[in-house]
Amino acid sequence: MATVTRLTLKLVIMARFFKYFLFSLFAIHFSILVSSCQEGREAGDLLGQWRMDHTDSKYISFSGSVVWVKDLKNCNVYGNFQHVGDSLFIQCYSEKAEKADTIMIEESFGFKPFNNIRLKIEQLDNDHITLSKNGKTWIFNKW
Amino acid sequence: MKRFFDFFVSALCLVLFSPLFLLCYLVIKIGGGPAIYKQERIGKGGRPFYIYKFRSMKVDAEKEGEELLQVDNDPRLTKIGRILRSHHIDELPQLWNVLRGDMSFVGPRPERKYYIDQIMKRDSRYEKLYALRPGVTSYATLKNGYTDTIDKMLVRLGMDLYYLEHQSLWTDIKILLKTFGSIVSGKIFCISLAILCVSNVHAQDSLQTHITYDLTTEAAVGTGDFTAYQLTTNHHHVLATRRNTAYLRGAVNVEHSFNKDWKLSGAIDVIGSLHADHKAYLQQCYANLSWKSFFVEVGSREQEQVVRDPLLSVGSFVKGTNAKPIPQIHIGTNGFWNVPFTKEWVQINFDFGYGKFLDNNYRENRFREGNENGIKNQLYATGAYYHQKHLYIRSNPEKPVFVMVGIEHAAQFGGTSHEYKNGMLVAKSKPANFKAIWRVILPLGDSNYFENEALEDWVYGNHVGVMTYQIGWNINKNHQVQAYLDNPFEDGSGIRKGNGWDGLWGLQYNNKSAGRQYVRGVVLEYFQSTNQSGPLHWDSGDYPEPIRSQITDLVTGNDNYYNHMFYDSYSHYGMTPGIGLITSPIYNKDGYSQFRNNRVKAWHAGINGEITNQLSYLIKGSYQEGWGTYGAPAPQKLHSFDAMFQGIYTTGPWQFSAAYAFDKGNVYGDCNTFNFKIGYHGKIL
Repeated sequence: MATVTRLTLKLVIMARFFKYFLFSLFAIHFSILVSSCQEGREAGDLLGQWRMDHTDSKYISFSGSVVWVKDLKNCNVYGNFQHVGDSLFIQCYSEKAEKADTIMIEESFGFKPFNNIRLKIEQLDNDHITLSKNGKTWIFNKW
Repeated sequence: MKRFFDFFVSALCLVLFSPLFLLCYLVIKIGGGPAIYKQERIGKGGRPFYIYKFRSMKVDAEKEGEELLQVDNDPRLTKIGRILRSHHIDELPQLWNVLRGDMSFVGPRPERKYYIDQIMKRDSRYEKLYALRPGVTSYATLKNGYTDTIDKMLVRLGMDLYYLEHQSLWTDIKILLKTFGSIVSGKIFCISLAILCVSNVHAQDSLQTHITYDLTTEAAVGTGDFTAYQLTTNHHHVLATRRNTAYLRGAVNVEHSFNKDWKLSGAIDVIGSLHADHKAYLQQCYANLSWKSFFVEVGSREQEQVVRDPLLSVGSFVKGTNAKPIPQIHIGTNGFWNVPFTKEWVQINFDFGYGKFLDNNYRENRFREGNENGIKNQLYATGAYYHQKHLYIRSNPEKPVFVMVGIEHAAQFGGTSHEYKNGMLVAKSKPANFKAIWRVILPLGDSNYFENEALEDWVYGNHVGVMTYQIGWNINKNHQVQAYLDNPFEDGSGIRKGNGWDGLWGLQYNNKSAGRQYVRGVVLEYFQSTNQSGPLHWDSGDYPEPIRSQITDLVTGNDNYYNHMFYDSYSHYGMTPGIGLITSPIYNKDGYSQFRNNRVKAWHAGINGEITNQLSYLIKGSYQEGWGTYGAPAPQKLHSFDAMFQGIYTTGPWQFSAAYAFDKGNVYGDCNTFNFKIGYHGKIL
């Protein structure tokens, strides 16, 4: 009987403070949610998918420290990248060591060499990125 | 097909006959002894199982001596047992055996091992019957009745073997109808029916039973490729997406209150359409048993939005109101339930259920149609099961400030995927057993998926979910403002909020004043689904060496909302059960079977109110921009402005509405639609 009384008392006390608990829970959850709405991780402003200007098939995507280069009419390749200052370093890897992967990166996109690409970021904003190397320029639009 | 029929019909019958179950249980129990009798029988594959019946014999009737056969005027029968037996009501608990899969509705009657041994000594063909699930009724039972000698059992065996060779769905239906006929021709049944009718007449006086009907007709005519988007979205796919379409709809609704706590309700709702994908469709067919704030329901029913405004909002990301209802068995609360001991400060709304998608033929046809158009659809899925649940917790909305948090989750599981591999269509099936049913509750997976060549099983099933945060302010007793965020997820990255600002961000105003109000409600919403936890998904576990160890980072993204590598798409008859702003596959004119544009940003507004006491209006519009999917980006940026203006006139049981809606852009094309609707709500009882 005493146990039941104690339990009832506890429930009544809990009920009294439940509204504060519920409001606190909501506030904590929402704060975490909004504060975690920062996009990009290591990719920072590079995060997202970018389409090469004047094409509808060539894309380069950045997330975390991984890059994904794809030509919808050809194939796609994964790699690592580092973004240091205005420099961008990309190392591509071929899943099945296929020649087509290298041709796509080096000839279709013009990024050389396949596993050690060094580019300069000329401009980067929410909608555009401009890359350059040896006087050659590539413009990509956020897509 | 047969198992599917057995499962759903048995579940439906269990709900429908639950009052009879209770009555029989109490009557037998009052007579003394257990109400349910179970006995071991031999089932499919020779496996033993327990068959359940209402006890019709005296307790321990078979305790002494050998097991006895049933005979006419058996002295071991109780008085009530004799009545139950004569109308086969004692067999009702076998619905549970059917639901479990021990038995089917139609099939040879299951026997005890003792008698099988006796029969086998004289005719070894009995073994052939192990190929079938035993049945509640059978061809032999209709022809031969109850068997009380081994000779009769041998005659029955001949009939069961005949059934084995000639079984078909049509044969089963005939057997079921004849069985039903033999039950209802019984004297007691007729008397019971008469009592029920008389009691219903009295019930009419006490308003315990209500039978109503709804007749609706609607037509949409105009220009463009489709009926304008705002007219078809959030209407359970009743009005076809094709242009120049019309339908006639009839529904009968039954509701019976046993007392203030228990209520049984159900409806049958049929639609016949012109110029639509479905010329005739059983839109709703369900039975619902409610006790206080809780219910158990079986069947197809147009479920309402749980927390979003049904008229003004774009709807929920998971359990919206776009697609035709998916038949299911589920339990939940009727609205919000006040949690005891919290002084109404905490209220809960939950739902939990399992169902099955019905659109197998649609998916297959769509797949083939696309491929004939050169689209190269990769796969289609059939026989997929459905799991859904939600839980919302809120503080008392009558207080000046209130908050709500909640989650909705749905999953496709089981079924078969038919995928092109090396030019061949290869079928791959997933289990839908108890383990699978358990695994989809929480998105668990196969840790050895790569070794098992089942990349799709890193999480079992196709999951979609949304987490809701909502806060409300009652300015005074009539005016309320709410702000909300529905944050979607498809996997762990979304749950961890890796998908940036993706979600439905909304503001809602409600006017609860009595009488005519020019502004009854306003909704402003922004929806974004472009992030999807980033553009790519890299998990080294998905790839072989050497690339597996060359890229070591883990980047989970490219969630590809609503699309899936095994189930193709989270859709039902081409329409998303979720949010309509992600353009449903039914709008892909070339037959492409997946969601082609799931990366969108959209702005939406809706307003409604009353101009006079009988004339109300509804205006809503959305503007969206889309970029396709990460895997297949749209060649050109997609955009569409879609709006509608509707006036509704209500007089007595009649409702008339007229609307104009249009789409402008390259998602649905340029469409103009005029819409007319007439509805009548009548009362039978």
